[in-house]
Amino acid sequence: MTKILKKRHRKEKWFRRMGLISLALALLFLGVIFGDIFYKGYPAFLRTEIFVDSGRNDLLNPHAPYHFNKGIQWIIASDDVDMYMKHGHQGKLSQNQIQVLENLKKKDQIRLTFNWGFFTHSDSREPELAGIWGSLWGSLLTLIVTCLTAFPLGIGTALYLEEFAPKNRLTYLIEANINNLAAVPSIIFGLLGLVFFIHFMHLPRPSAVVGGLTLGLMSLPVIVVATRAALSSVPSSLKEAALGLGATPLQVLFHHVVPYALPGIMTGVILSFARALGETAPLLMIGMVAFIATPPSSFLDPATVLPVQIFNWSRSPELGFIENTSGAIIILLVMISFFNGIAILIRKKFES
Amino acid sequence: MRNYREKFGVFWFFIFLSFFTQKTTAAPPLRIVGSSAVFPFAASVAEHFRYKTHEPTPIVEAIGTGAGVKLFCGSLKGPDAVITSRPFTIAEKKKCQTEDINFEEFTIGQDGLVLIQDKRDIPFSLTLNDLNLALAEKIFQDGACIKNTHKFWNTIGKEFPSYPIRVLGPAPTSGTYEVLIEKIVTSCGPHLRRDGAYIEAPANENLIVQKVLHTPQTIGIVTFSFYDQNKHRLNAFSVNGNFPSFESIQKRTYSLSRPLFLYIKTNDLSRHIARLNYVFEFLSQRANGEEGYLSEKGLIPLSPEEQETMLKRAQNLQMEIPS
Repeated sequence: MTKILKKRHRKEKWFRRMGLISLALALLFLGVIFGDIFYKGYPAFLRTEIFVDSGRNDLLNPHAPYHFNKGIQWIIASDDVDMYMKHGHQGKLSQNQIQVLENLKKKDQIRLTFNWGFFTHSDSREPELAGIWGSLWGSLLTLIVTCLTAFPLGIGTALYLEEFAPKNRLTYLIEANINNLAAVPSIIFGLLGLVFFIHFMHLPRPSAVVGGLTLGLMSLPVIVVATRAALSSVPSSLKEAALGLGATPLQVLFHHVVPYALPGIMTGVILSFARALGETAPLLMIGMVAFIATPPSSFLDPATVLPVQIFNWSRSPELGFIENTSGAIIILLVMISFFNGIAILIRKKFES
Repeated sequence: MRNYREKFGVFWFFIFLSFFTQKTTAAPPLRIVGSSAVFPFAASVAEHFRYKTHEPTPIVEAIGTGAGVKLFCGSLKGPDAVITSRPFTIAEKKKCQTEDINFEEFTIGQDGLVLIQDKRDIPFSLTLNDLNLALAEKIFQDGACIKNTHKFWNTIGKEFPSYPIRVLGPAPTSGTYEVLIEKIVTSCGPHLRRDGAYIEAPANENLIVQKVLHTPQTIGIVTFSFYDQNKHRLNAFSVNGNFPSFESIQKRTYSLSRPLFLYIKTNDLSRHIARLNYVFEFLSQRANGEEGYLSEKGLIPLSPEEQETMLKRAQNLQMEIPS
């Protein structure tokens, strides 16, 4: 008897240990990834500036001549200088230039400051001038389009399917298909967007509209599935009580079922938008992989989004773009965790 | 009261929307598509073009030479210019003609393919023939084409180290691959090895550099600008006795060098003068000179004579515009 009991206890202990080990492993991987990104990315938030009177144009960024005589005191240094100041890479600097830099250091005419440009500039081919402003706007516009299409369509579909649709073979087929669509790789939606929105509807090629519609298509099935799960968790006694008191089906739906299911619905919706925010693959298919240095001012303007910006920078030869890439990843991670945080808050708020 | 507020909400929402959808009055930006090898340079020129002319920054898309030309010759409304790492083929020219697209070709610089290895590995020098023996899918031996079975560099030449043949290079969809085929594969079929000796990397040359640095005894093939940026940790191989450098590529004594091209549409140029201005910026001394910003980025500038020829070509186009 005690033997069996011992065996059972041992089993439970082992199970707990396995769980702990897998948790530790997962945390380790996460730590390594985050550590690597933060270690590589934090220099992106610093930049080297040189005092305007230093008299050496070869150490400044290649666009500096356009901005002389504008009362600027400190000018952003070229990426070679930046790399030398941050990591000591000699790169393409000559011995003479390094001598000059050391002299400037002694005279305090060169400094490392916070890189505001990383947030206020748009894309550039010069790593010291490149920033995420343009792609951030692009992401925002794209996400607005995604919201406007996927939210009403997804919720509407789910409400109809769950509450009103007759249960027959057709609706069953549709249901199965929606569940399948939720698992389709995102790049397929990119192909769909390319064929339908660009080749068929002739919408402008790298624009927020096309990107948003494509991402909307992608998040539609996920929203439908999440909403339906939330709706079906509403106890039927609630509905029956309302119906019994003489409410119409529509009143039951909007006065009782939807408010009850709202936390679940909102969580699903926000999570799928967070996914859309970080999505790259379908946008590659519809031509958003472009060098676009002016932030979009309308939905039809050429635009790119943050993840694609990261992809673009990761392919650039200049060493400075390596840290820019990681810096942009940090921003994206912060934004996505912000979204997920909102999802949690909403759930907490409506649940109480 | 509540209803009233809701209506206001809708009102504000539309105000918010119209803020985004207002039509911009400026001319649409130039659209340039094509080779990812030329992309860094074309984008640099696009940026300087904005500061100089105060026109919107051209949009540059790196989708590969083949796909770029397809878009360019697809319709008159397509991209204004295409950047390529090889000249148009006859078929592509025909395609453009059937769509009534007139175009002009400009050589905008030279590029070199550089074979790289980690600085800690033993350097050795190669010839085009060695590369053929190492990388071609079929090699010519004893009067017949046979399958390439070389596994180690020292089976090709006794003076080479006993490194396994492991070369990372561009994928077959890129113009760079076509140049490799043209330069190192002889009569036995236009393919590089597919048995793992030649590894196709996706169009991300930083990845090739990273992999070469992390796997010893591996060789990578990248374009000159990537080697130029990573000189402090990479060795370049000499090919046929010449090391890749600005000089050897410009004078074409380095065997794996190739010209890069820019094509613009010349239909109705008076309405699209920005296309020509973009070409002028590309050919300007500030960009394409010995100390220009493009050579800073790793493009090997045209020789002064070539530059003269190209400028003439652009000026002729400018002259033809009815004023």
